[in-house]
Amino acid sequence: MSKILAIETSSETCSVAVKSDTEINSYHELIPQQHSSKILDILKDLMLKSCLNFKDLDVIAVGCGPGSFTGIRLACTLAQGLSFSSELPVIRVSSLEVIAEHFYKKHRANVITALVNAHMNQIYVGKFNYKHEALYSSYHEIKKIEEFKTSEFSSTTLFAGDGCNLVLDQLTALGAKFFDHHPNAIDLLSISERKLEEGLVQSPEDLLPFYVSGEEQWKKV
Amino acid sequence: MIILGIETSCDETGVALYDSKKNKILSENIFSQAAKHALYGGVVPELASRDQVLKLLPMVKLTLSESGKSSDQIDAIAYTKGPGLSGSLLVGASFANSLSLGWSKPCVGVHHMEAHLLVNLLEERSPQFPFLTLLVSGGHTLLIKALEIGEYQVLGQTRDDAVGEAFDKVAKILGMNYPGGPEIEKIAKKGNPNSYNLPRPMLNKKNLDFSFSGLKTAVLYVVKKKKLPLSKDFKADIAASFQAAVAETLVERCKSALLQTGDTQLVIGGGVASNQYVRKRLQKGLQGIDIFFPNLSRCTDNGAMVAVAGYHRFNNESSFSKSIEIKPRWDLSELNK
Repeated sequence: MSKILAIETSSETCSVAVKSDTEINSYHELIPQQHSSKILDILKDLMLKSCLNFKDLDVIAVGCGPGSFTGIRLACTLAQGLSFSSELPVIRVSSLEVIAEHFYKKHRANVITALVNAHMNQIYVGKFNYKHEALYSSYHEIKKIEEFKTSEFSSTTLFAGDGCNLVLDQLTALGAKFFDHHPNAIDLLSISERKLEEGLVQSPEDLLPFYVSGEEQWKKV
Repeated sequence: MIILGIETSCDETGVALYDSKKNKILSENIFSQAAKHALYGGVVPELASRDQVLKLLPMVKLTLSESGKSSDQIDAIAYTKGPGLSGSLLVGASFANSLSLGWSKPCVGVHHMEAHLLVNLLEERSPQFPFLTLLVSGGHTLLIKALEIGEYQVLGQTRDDAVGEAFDKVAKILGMNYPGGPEIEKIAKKGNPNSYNLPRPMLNKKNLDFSFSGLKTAVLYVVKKKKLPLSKDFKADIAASFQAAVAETLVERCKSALLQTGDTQLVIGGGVASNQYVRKRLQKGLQGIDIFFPNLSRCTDNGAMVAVAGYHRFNNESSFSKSIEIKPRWDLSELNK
């Protein structure tokens, strides 16, 4: 059995989970703009409840975004420091995949699109296809809201994430199922268990935020 | 005590290991993002934060390996809590706190300007409290009376642009690159500082505040009257005149402050303190005053100053942090006990 710490702070919900040999302890609360002031206590509390020291862990899993820039930098730097100081490998996961994982497990959906509010009139779109009990393909992009068209999706696509509210009319017209949802560290745990089994771990230097949007949006003055 | 210092308040990543018994920096590294921001003509906060995440861990690893110390020989971690850019500050703060958790070592957040002020304690010839301090950088222009560690009185500050900011803006007006300080200093060497009569702002006022935005505008008006492209000679002359106006303002303000406080020691800090012309003018203009300049590499932001300030802070408030705290806006006088 593997022991995993999972950190997911890309949304306004601060989500942390610790899996020990016997149980899962987790925290999942909507605390906008309070992640950095509360997360140390949350981490210490969950580790204590799980009777684990950081050095006892097998791996630290992080939802690296896309999402709130501040949130994903917080998760990445925290995990970098913990991983370096406790000599642990890390697992880097897309926060959109964490959303998809929830509905893959819960609804047995195979075609899932995660939509997350990217602000400034933009939306993150993550398309996930599952086949033979595994993630088969994925695609990430950032779009202007007015460029989001449902014509490229089938009505059997399940949409999830806080970006659904931005394109509510289009999703309703498509007749697709959609759910307002923030990524949950428990779903990050199940993804990382699979990745750990496959040996897909990284070193902390590789644990960088996943912005999707590049530096090109900062125009020269 | 051996302290790891982490500075990430703006566009420099600074890491250093300080041995307080020997009062010596064991190893230190600084990475400057200036080249990246030069493309945009100034610091872009979001890009600065992104680069901090990229650079911090490799720099900590490098600094530790160069020092020959292992993590269990480190007694504490110090990071810059503020003031500065919130995104950049948060990277250093969360990284420092996670090291503290992982290593079970205490962690302390220090004031960036106090760090600039205390870095002089590393020099062989260092000031004795109380003394007067002039902190001049891209983000700050402060005249401070340092009574003792943690006891500071802000006597004067800028009402608009910081000195370094004025250098950057004037460089931009003259079509030169960011950061403007070194560019202006270089070209000014070939110019005549008396060729343009630029204002010495606020010098007729009795208080100890500064203002540099009017001086920058005065340069702009002179430039606007010139035909483009600006000649090299003109650029040299206007840059030299601007630099002379800044230097004279700083000298006169320090003179008044020294007269007012009766101090005989003056500590200079911040990026503008690396300007050799400004250094010379201060030395020449303030004869009889004991002036302390930090080592050139420690004028700009660095990890060594954070480690030193962290050591002095530990005597007061040693603790394991409860939360990742940053203070993007933080007045130095709030530190007073």
